[in-house]
Parts: sequence; structure tokens; C-alpha cells
Amino acid sequence: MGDILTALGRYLPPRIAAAAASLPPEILARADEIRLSRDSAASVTCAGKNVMFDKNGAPSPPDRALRPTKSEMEECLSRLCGGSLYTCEAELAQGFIPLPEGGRAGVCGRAEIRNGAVAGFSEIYSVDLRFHRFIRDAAAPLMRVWAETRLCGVLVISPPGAGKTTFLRSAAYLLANGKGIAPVRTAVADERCEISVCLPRSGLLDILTGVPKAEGITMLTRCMSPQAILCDEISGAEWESVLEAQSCGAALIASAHGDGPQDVLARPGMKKLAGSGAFRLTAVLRRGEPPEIKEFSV
Amino acid sequence: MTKLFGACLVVTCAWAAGFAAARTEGEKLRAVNALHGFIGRLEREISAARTPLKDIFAAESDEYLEARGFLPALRAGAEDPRAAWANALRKLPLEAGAYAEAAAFGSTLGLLPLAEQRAAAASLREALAEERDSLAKKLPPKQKSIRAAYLLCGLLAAIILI
Repeated sequence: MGDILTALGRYLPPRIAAAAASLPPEILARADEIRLSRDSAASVTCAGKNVMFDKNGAPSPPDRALRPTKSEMEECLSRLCGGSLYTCEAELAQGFIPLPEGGRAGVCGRAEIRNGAVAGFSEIYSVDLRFHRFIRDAAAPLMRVWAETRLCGVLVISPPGAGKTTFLRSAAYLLANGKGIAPVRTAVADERCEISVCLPRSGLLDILTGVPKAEGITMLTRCMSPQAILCDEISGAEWESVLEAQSCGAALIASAHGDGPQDVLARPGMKKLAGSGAFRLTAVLRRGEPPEIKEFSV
Repeated sequence: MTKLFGACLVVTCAWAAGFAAARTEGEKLRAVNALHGFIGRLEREISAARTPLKDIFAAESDEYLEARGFLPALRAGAEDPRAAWANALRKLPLEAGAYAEAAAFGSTLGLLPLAEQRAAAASLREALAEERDSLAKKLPPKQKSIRAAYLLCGLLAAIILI
């Protein structure tokens, strides 16, 4: 089937799984997220729209939506952790739980602070389960640009949920397998195991998961001599590692949240990064539109 | 002659029943002892390698816990360790106190962060050690009394019969 329930249904408490299974097939087939909020609402995100549903799986307004209970949230958390919370304590402190098949579930709730840092959650209020897809040619327009010019750094910009990670996943596949350009030694610094989920392991592909982005980029640059490094959701804090990667000749293809280049440049760290010349191009993604690839003018 | 034979049979049966009842009493000590060992191993696995519970359940090989159905019940429900623990615990002949302690431990099994999970295991292990020591002290005289009581009942019944 390949729908969201086949992939993520086993993490849902029975009542919610049964309701989700009764959702209209056209919603199920296109849903890319299931969100549970304690005592609030269960919903799916489908083509950028949030659809709340009732106990029968029918789309419904918030007051009639299925409300996950405290014990259901605990059950969901337990299923996400494979029945052993302590095995994913470190990731949970960062707000996510890695899933065995790849990908992650985002969580939030009442945080516990120890020594000034988040140590975990004493209660979970919300869980966000995202379904990852591999769309082979999502980044094909970028390959065409590179074929005409040469491989260079690209900053992929879009609002949340518009396909940044899918675009990066496709770019990693196309680069590593030489689709549209000659094969490139491609390294993926995948801190939260998101890009590498459902990314076919083929071609000149090296994947580093579970390491913070800045450290991962440095490790990959030093150890794997990549020609291209991909990473998701870069921030200004990573600028030193990015510059190091640039000095070794590796092109960085990274993503950032925003509506466009001006949005990204408004952040001081990102402005420093952009000013370093790490990214020659930007690819702005908007839902339902082809990527807009342009020179990055700082 | 028939009465004598019947009396002998009654005495023998009473002695066997006493022996069995005393043995059942001994099972409680065995169960506490085995559970204590299991909790110790679970605590070490969690502390040393953060091993997931289902892997701990799968690797455990205590013969007594296996034979009583405790381990098979844990493994069968490893996806929901709390329900599996509650189910498995019912397979062991534990004293009420030890059962309550173990049930309380199971109600949060797998839901706690490392430090708290380890502390909960350590606390149960200590409670079980106390229970085991107490049972070990009380058990031999208790078993002797049970056997004697059954035998006396048998003798009394035999005398009445004759």
C-alpha cells in the first residue's frame, strides 16, 4: 500500500489507529503527517492542509475531533520507544524519537530542565509522526542547472512542510547515481535520520547519521573526501564547519526554513554563511510549484 | 484387615499431601529468588548498555522462570512491557508483599528515564532480597509444621477409621 498507516500505524494506540484507518482513502494516500495532541485533537496533514478526524475517521471540526487521552499518549510514546524509554532519552531531550525504520517522531510536552538543559519530558502533550517519501526526480531541475554550469553550493529554502527534505533526498540520489550529471561522491550529514529514510542505497553515497550537523560536516569532509555534502535545516551556528567544507572543495547542499532568500538573510548567522560564498544558488520551494532556482545574491 | 489397609492408605495419603503442601511453600522462596536474580540482570543490562527490554526478555534464560511461564509471557507481550509484566507476574507463586512490590515496578516499566528505571529496579531488587531472606528463615520450620499437621490429621482419621 505504501500509505501513512502502513508505515506508522503500529505506533498509534488502537482507538486512534482504527479511526485513522477509516479516513477517506484519498486523504490516507496523500497524508504525510499524523499529529496527536493530548485532550485536543488527532489530525493528519494532507497536501498542506490539516484534517482533524472523529472516532469514525470522518473529517470533523475541532470540537468533534478525536481527542487522544493521557494514557493513549503514554501508549504512543511507549510504542515509539519500543517499550523502553531509556533507550532514546538523549534524543527525546532534543524533542524527537528516532524510529527503527528511519525517520523520527517529534514530541513536546512538559520539559524537565537539569543543569540548565532539557533533560527530557515528564509528560508528553503532542506527538508528530511524519511519513517520508522518496520522489526520485524532485531535484531534477537542479541537476539540469548543474549540468549547464558546474556543481556548486545550494541553499534550499521553503516554509515547513513544503518538501525541503524530499528535495534533498532526491538530490542525494541523483548526484550519487549520476542522473543528469556525472556521478558525484555524495555525503549526507543526517543528524536526525530524516534524509536517509527511504533513500535508496546506491551509487557514490555515504551517510552519517546521529551526529550533530556541524560535527558531521567536519567528519565527512575530513574522512570521506566528498564532492557534495547534503544536510537538512542548517543554521548560522554551523557556519564554521560549512566554511571548512568549502575550503576542501565540497559543495554544500543544505536547507533552511523561510519564504525566500531575504527571509534567510535576516538571520545574522545565516547572513555570515551566505556572505562566505558557500551557496552560489538558492532553490526556493513552494507547495505545488516547481523549484525556483536562482543565483544567491547577498 | 480392610480397615487396617484403609488406615494405612489414609496415613500415606496425608503424608504425601503434607509433603506436597510443604513443597508448594518452598516454591515461593524459589520464585522470589529467581525474580531477584532476573531483576539484578535487568538492572545491569539497562545500566551498562541501555539494552531495550524486549532484548533483555529475549536473552534471559533462567530455567525456573522459563518453566513457570514467566519468561514466555514477557516475551509474548514485549511490545507492551507493562501488560506483559502484569501477565507474567501472575505465573509466579509470590507472597502478597513481594507481588505488590513487583506489580508496582511493572506499572512504570519502560516508561521511565534511565536513572529512574535503574532506581526502580534497584528498589525492587532490595525488596525481593529482604523477602527472600525472611522466607529462607521462616521456611524450614514452616515446612516441618505443615508436614507434621498433615501427618497428624492422617493419623487421626486412621484411628477414627479403625
